[in-house]
Amino acid sequence: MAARFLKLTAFFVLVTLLAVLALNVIMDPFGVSPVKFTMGGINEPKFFRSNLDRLLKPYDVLSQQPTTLIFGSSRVKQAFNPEHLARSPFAPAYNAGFDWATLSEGTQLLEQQIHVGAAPRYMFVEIVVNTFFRPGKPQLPTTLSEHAQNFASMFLSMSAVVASGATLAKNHSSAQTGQYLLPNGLVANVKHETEKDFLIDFPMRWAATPRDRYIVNDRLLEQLEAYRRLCTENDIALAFFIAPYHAVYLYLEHERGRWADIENFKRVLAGYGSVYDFTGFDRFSTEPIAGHMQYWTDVNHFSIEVGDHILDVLAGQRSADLPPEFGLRLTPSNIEVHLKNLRDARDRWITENRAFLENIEAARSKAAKL
Amino acid sequence: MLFNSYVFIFLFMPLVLGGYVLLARRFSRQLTIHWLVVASLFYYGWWSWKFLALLVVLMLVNAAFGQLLLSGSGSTKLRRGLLMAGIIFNLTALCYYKYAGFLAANLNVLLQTDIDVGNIVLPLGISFFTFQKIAFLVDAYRRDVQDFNLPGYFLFVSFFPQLIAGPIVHHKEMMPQFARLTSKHLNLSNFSVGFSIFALGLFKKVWIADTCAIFADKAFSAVMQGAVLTTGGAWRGASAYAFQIYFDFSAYSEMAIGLARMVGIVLPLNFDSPYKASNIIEFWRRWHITLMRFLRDYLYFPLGGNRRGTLRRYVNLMSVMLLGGLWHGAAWTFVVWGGIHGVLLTINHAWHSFRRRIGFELGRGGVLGRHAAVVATFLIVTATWVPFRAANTEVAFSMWRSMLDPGRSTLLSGSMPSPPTLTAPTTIRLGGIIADEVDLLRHAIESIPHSESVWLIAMLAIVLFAPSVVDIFEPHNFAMREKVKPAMLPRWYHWQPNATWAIFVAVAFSMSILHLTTVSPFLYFQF
Repeated sequence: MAARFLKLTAFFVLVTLLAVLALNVIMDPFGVSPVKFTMGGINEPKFFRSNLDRLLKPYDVLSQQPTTLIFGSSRVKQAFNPEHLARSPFAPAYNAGFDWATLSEGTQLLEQQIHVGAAPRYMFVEIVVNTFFRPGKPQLPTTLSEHAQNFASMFLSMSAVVASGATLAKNHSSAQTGQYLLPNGLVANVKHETEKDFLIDFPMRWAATPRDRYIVNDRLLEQLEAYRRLCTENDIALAFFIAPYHAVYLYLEHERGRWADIENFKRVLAGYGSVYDFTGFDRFSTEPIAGHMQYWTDVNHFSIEVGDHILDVLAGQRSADLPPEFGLRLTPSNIEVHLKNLRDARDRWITENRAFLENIEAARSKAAKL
Repeated sequence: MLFNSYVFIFLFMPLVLGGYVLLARRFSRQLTIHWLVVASLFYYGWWSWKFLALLVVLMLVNAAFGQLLLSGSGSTKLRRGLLMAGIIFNLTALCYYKYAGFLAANLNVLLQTDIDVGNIVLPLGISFFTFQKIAFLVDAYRRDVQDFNLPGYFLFVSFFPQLIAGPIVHHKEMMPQFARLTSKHLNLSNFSVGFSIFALGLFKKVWIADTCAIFADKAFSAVMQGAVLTTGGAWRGASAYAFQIYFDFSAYSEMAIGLARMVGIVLPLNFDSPYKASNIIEFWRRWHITLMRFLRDYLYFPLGGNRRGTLRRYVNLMSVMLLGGLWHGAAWTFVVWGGIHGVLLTINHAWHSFRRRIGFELGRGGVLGRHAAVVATFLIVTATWVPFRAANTEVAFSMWRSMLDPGRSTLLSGSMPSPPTLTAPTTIRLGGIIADEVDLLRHAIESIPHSESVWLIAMLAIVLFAPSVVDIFEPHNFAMREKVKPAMLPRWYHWQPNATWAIFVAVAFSMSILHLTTVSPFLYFQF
């Protein structure tokens, strides 16, 4: 009796777990299943691929093994469309950007690919000034135990069952959904909140931002060196880039007294040979603030159109109508001229936009008092 | 290593049981005891190797005291001295780790001093195994200990199913069972019963207790952050915690009993549907039974019990409950909790005495009266859980004020944080594990309208009317028990090794496994 009971119990446990596994592999609510069953209106789009990018993307990269890996912050995540590189030697590309990414997470991602023998041929790495100066703590799963727990969460958990059910329900209803990740890593359904963000939210965030200086030190340089070493050893073409900032953002950095720090930082980068600078006071960064902007979705994030231009430059397909210093490759010989041009452009922009900047300053002062 | 973790269920448990089966069938009983000792020490060491050393030292010193007390030589005075030394040794360790910080903080306030004892980490389960060792020394002094040997003693103290959070066992309960640890007792029948109890306990923990925790945490966190709850919100929060601790502790006790049963050991009953109690005295006969047994046998009786007059009896009761409260944690909230229960027990005993004196026979009320008494007892116990859960006495008093004063509800009605919508959480936990971030089930539960009220009503119905696991496994010798009348249930209510129960147990176990991605520790692990 007892033996039969135990056998039956084991059998039913197995059946239940297999049924759940099958459901979650077929529905694949997080889009990371190695076996794909694409059924539009049933398990596509995957609305639950949202806000979990830091954790889902390593699995995407593992399964897709892209030729080009684009790594960076949420600015990359929202604006770099890998499809733009289709039909080029860079295809297939994958957008591996995620919120508050650190440089060391990028090297970890690269190491993961090298480890499984699927190193990309090209790697574009965004250097974000304030992210670069954050401590580089690896945060991606590395141990077997971490991967096992992630697997259990995504395929053998009741939360995955809930996500599967909700994916089906949402795909059958007309419910509004927020942003979610496409299979190529780009984020879809990004909300445009330009006016509110520039004039209310950003000044508040800025007021709460630490006033740390940007000081280049050896530990930070080691992180850059790690990329260079990994890419050289594995025959990967590496390009660093500093993505554009809106003029308001650059102005506030200037006001906070960090302009010289940023210049020093760029001088150091100029010695690395493959660093492209997209910051400046050009038609992209000086776009007037409006309810819906062509080049910006909010004060920190530029649009896919700008992202496409950046990808063109990095892929060596620069179009003629781009501003002259947009995507300038920094070298020891051109860095000083470039920095001076930026300073002059900044001062001109400030002079020309005095009235507008007074509004920004008022909002900033109000936020600081809260 | 928690019972409700992958590593315990899929690695530790199969390895220990597999090794145990092998040794019991092929080798000697002594070797199986050694194996269980090693497994138990490894289980404890998984949390902290440093504190494993402490546990071993404490066990060795206590074994030495026990050996001396049992050796038979020496005068009564000397033996009494030895017993006192042993008790002081154990209490010193307990006081240092558990109460030094609390004492220093209070002295600093009282005497305006600046005593700093540093950050003392509380060794897991120290309150439980200290009591168990003290009970052993007293039993040894009373010459109530037989079959003393070092491996058996080590297993008695460190037996992994009950090491961290009880049940608190007596040496004389365990040693005869260890002596029978042979393949004869290692059978599939014991394993089936044990696994079924374990699976149901696991389900209780991960599905019921942890869901109650969502609502309890929300209420207590809101008060902690300065919110003033509505009367309804405060009662919902307090009852959510009452259910959380009920299901959490009963789940732990059942998992411990189930695990022990898998290797053929029957542990004492620790929990017997306490919310079905119709008064506080009965509640304490059903809640944490082995702790109350310890306090009764080793504190209340030596203090004189009820043999030295009514007043002394009530003083003894208060002392026992205050110390019982303090045993749970070094904070005034636990003292308040223990004190309230002391007062309630005193009132309850006085009321019973009064009724007896005027000629009323106890326990002869009608069905309606009994139900009303059960509900009243539940409400009182629920209110007393408030200081037990509250981070400090201010939070406890704020909760109580909200529970008692409907007028307060106008101050900040709806001050509970609103439930989030069914979307993936926005925060990312560092370390690469997505378990916490993908806890969509929790968000789904929170997003259902009135989920809290519906859930709490369902829990109330379960604790008051559903048969307990103790009742379900009654014919299979669920646990050692004292003088508790079993519930009369129809035969089909009882667990049987058939296909229906196999499906039930399998579904409970699978559902629990699927919910282990968000692991939470047992509440009693903190004591």
